[in-house]
Amino acid sequence: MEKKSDEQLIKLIRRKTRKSELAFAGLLDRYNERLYWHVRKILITHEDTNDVVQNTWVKVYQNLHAFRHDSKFYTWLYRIATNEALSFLQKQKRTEADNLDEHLFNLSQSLESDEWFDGDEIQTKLQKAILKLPEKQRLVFNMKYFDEMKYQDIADILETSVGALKASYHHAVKKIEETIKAEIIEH
Amino acid sequence: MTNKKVHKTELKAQPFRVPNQYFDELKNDILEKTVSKKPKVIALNKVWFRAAAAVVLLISVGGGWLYMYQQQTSETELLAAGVEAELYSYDMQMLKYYSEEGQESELTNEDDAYLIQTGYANEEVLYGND
Repeated sequence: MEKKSDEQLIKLIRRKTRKSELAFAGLLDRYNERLYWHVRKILITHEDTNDVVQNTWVKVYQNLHAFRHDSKFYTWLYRIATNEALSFLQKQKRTEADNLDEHLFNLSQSLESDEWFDGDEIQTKLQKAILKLPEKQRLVFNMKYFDEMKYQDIADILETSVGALKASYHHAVKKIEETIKAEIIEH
Repeated sequence: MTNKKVHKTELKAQPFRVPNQYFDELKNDILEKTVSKKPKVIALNKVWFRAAAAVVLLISVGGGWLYMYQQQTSETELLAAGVEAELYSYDMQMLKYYSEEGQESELTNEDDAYLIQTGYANEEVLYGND
């Protein structure tokens, strides 16, 4: 079968015919796993990521009529997921009566005991160093370093300029290097 | 492959895991919440729904009864006013007749007392000057 573009799939979903379900399943097959890993790197725990990814797709489905193809579908999808994940972190911060940095610090401490984390020593050090970064630098670093996204796509997702992103990524890399070096010297 | 490249590949590898068959289950969950979502049916056997239905029924029946009662009351009041007006008119006609003809009133003492009490007539009209 000929592989349909995102635009063609979206058109089929909007028609709300019997083919809509197949078309939406096609979008899920294409992006669901990548989206999950994107959100997982922000939220760290599997359970929270599962909730946020499901909410993201429900929102995408409900708002698909509003998608104007001004940007790529996947940048629109990632923008919704990123906002959902950040809102989730903010909500957790309020319910736990602590601040976001404290919450991320707790996450980094529980990383090794998480049953769905099996990173080796250097991967664990890297994840802990990433969790120490400010929110925007953390997002940029994950998208650039792990997902190898183009700066322009990251700029569309985070609604910022390419120049600002390059600076954020540069700062993030420096801070991670410093954190890991400091830890190696400590031990 | 150089040591640096091996190191970089290791670092970029995903350190997180998911349960087996997780992505298939996730896909099904999402499809159920979106395109496959069936219209919500409210179960009639739920206690709160029964209570709400009973309240709505009571309000409907009570409201209907109140409306009909008010309608009936206003009709009765109208009818009573009409009868009273007719009686008054009759009394006046009779008084005029008796006074013109100089005949004695056939009204009973009770009727007289009522006419005097209500101000429709006085003793002079009823019994004359003598």
